[in-house]
Amino acid sequence: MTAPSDRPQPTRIRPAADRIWPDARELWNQRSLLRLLTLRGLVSRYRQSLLGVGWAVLYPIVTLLIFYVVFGRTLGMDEAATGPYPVFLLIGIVLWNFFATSLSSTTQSVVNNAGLIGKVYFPRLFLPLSAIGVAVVDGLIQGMLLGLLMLVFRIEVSAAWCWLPAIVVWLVLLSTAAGTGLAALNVRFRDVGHAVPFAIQTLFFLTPVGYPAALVSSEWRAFYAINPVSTIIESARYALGLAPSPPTLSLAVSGVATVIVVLTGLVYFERTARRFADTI
Amino acid sequence: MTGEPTAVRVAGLSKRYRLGLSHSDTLAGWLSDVTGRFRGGGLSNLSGASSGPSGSIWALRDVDLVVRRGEVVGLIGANGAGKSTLLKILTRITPPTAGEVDLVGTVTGLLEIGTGFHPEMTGRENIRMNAALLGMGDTELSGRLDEIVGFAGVEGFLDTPVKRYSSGMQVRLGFAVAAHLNPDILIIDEVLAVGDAEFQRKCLGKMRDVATRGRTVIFVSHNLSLVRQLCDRVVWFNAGRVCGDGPPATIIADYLAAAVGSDGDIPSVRLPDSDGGDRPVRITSVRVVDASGECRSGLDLRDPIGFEVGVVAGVAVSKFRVGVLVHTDEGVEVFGSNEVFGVDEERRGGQPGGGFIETKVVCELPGWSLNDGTYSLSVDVGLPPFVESAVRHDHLLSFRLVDSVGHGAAAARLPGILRPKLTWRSVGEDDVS
Repeated sequence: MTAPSDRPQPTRIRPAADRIWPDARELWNQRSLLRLLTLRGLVSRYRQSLLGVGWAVLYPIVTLLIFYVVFGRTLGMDEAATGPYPVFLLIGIVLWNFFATSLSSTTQSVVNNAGLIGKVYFPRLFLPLSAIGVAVVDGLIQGMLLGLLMLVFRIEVSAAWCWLPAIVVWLVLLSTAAGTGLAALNVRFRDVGHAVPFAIQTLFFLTPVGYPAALVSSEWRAFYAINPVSTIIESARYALGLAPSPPTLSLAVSGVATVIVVLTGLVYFERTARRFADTI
Repeated sequence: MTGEPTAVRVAGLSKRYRLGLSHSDTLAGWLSDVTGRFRGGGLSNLSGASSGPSGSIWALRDVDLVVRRGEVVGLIGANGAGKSTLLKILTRITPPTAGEVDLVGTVTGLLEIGTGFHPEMTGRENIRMNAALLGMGDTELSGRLDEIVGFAGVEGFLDTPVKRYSSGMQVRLGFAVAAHLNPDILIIDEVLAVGDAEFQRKCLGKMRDVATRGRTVIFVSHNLSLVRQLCDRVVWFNAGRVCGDGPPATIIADYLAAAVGSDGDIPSVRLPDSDGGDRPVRITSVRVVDASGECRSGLDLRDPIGFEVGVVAGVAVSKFRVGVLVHTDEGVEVFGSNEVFGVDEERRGGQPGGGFIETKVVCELPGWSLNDGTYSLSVDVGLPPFVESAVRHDHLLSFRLVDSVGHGAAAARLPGILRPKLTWRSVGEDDVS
């Protein structure tokens, strides 16, 4: 007769029976590992570089200057439609930059850690999540830059600012899910790693980074909104009082697109994650 | 130990791997697979019997195994026998294809030393990273940090990036974390092969500690003397199945005996005629044999062994030179040797026209020469004036020498490539007062 405490519930390992959704409790229990993987990502990016985190600021500043000259001066943006153009522009740059860098780094996050995958078990989702963590740190720094610019141009606080946290969560969720799905697909087909930078570049032109979304003619707006980043940027500008509210149709289309990306991305990742060690 | 509760139960476990690049690694192939599945051909091959579908291999096949709490079990077998696959399933790195495993208690898999280390991170950060990957919690780690640092001997370098460490320090740091893990079940792959001798000894001591504290240990090693010394029980794998299970001495003896005759790693090679068939001289066969002329894997390092080379020379050849060169499995040149042989005039005359004569030569290596380990053999044959090789085969085959007795009380592998039988004696005593 053994005391019940001597007989803990065994862990059972079985074939397939793939999970289709992340195990939230496991992720929570091992959250310190996610923190460390994010630290590892930051360290490999910034340690032993002179500018360090300065690079995160330098990039949007340079982009801002170039765009300001190209769109603002050459194409002659109408500040009546955009408010102070540098602020309008930087909102687009910061949000787009978060999406672009997090998407490309998450896509590579699993393949780049093939060594870990083959040697130790841990929730595989931590690899894309830690890549997002690194991008969030960069994004926060760039967000501070944006705040500074808003002070300079005396953007006034309004009730619409309440939307900002929701908009940021929307962007992070979208980037995480898309990058996670692509990371899993990249394990199977390395073509994905080559295609993603190309796709990001293409998508850039379909996103209102340097121009107001209102420039797109109304019959195309619904298609335009299939790319949720466009609606996210537009919403952020609206919340800061630099653009009219995005049309309801755009919000609905982008919302549905986001839900589809989140479901397919996370489910595909979880379904294939157990076999990464075999397929990588 | 039969009274102890079960720690690990493996039932009907099988694992199939695809070989090489499969059909479905290209997008087009993948699409045709997917459409095939819709047409109903999909999962039928999962039920396939002993042979997998083409292009796949069963790394494990119907393995049953029960390990009780506190047992120290060694897994042995040739490369590709399924040992490492079993470890990867037990540590959840890869899922099985069929069957199931129950693990009672916490499990840590140690398949590598210093997993997750990043050269730019400091010693402290790397300890935390490695410990977290191996499942050690934050509070658990902070309680043991000093002990780990002391064990690794890196005090004073804790906030230095690991890339500034010597390679020895990096290995010790990884080992130190590993040695302070505290799981109920510890699963170890061949990781003790790295590190200097003193440090290996320290780790072995630590491992024995772990075992005596009632922890279950499963480990894979090619070092049979280590297995014999540490394990209560040995499980021998062959071609994905359990082939023997019992006390270390019995199973290891069976394993070594069975190695004779299985062609897996027998040090014998026949070279086809097409390999330099038009040359005046060529090598037809190479074998590594024991004193009785028999060819088998796992030769005893105490006995003499022979490198037997078959040479075919045209009748025009009166003299040829055969050479052998031995490397360790890490590629270190150990020694080379060659000898010139003359072909008997009478035999040459007896071959009308353009015939060939086959000669077998043996180079004998005395016992107590090389240490326990795997070596590779390169051979060449040359013709006068013996400046360069006429035919040369690098790393043609590998052979293994086994230390079946071990050394001293620990029966451990002695360091080094050579294993001479040395004499020690006392040369007098002095009173020191």
